[in-house]
Amino acid sequence: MKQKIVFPRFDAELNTDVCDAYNNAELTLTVRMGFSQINPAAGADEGTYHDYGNAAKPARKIIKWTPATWKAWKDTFCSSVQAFWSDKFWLINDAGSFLYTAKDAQVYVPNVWCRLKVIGQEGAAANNHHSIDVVRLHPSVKWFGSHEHLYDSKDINSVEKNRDSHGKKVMQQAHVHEFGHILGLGHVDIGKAHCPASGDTNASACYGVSDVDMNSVMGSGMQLRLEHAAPWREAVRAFSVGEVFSGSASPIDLLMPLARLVVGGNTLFAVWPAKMKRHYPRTSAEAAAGTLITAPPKRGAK
Amino acid sequence: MNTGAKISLTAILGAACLTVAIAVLLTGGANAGKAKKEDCSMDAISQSICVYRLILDDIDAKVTMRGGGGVTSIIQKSDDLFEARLAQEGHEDIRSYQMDLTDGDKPKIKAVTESTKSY
Repeated sequence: MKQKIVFPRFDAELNTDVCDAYNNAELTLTVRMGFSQINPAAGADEGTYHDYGNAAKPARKIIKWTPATWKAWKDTFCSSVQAFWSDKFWLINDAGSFLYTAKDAQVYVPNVWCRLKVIGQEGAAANNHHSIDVVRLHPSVKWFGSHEHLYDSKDINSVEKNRDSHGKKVMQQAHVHEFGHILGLGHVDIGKAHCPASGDTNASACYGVSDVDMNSVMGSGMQLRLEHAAPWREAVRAFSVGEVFSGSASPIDLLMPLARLVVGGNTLFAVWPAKMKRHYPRTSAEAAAGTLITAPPKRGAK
Repeated sequence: MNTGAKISLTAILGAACLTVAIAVLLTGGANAGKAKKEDCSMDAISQSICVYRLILDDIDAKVTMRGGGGVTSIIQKSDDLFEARLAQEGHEDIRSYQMDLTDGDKPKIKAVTESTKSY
């Protein structure tokens, strides 16, 4: 079965048709990105554009987009973001949701594989989840002041963002970091004393003070962490609770969580812990025992 | 050694001496850096340069976010208050410097406060 829930930041689709004794359910978040060109004024080949789109800030040299460079940039944006964020997390099914009977007649508790699909379309499209304007920088320009709705052509490059305690460069591709925000993720150090959630969470300290935090993709680096599975966890909880209300599972599962404990969990209190390694579907007994299966298990007939 | 060779050697030695003399004049000799530091109170320009150097040295020593657009401005907000802006993706880091200018010879940084301007 394929089910869909529309969230403000993305559409989520849960596919349990792919489930068998070895394969988990797939949860795909789809983000429609709208792209609009910013070109030099009056059709000129070259011009300038100010950092952050603010006339009081430095003007940078820009050049006109061509159809080929525009298409290449959008394609690279979408493919590189998708390659970075998709297929990296598995959510452990501690809710006992989405049970299915495989061909070996065994009932399985599927985990959830977290996938991402990024669709690039015109900036004016009505159904975009997020839209950005993009300037094409002159080859001589090394940097431009971007923000969440204003990018530059070099934002897909890996550039030095920070220096760790050993003086080592911490590199980042800005668009990959920004896409984390599009998914709903905040900066790595939000909530710590040097980056209170009540303050401006764009302060440099929020990008990570310790070397470990600095290297997070939601800091100044490119490392994924388990907490970055939060958007998929949010979505799967909605499907899990929705399963009960839609009649796919009994409402008694919500009222009497103990009923779910026979397969190791219940819908309301489920955490859906994230892992960064494939975890295979479990039998009810394995789920109840809390067993995690990371190597291909021996199952009955496929 | 023939006469031509003697003339060439003399010319080379002369050129070398001239080069050294020009270098000494330009740098002010070995004490050039020290002399400049002690001249902070000579005039307004000297003191300004000392203050801006202190701010730039502080930024160089303290700021780890080396990427972005760098230092885009340092402006004087009041007699002893200066503000440096560092451009980053999506925001500017603002470092406000309270200076101690009571000893004209040796301006000091009294306090630094950090803030952020998001875009």
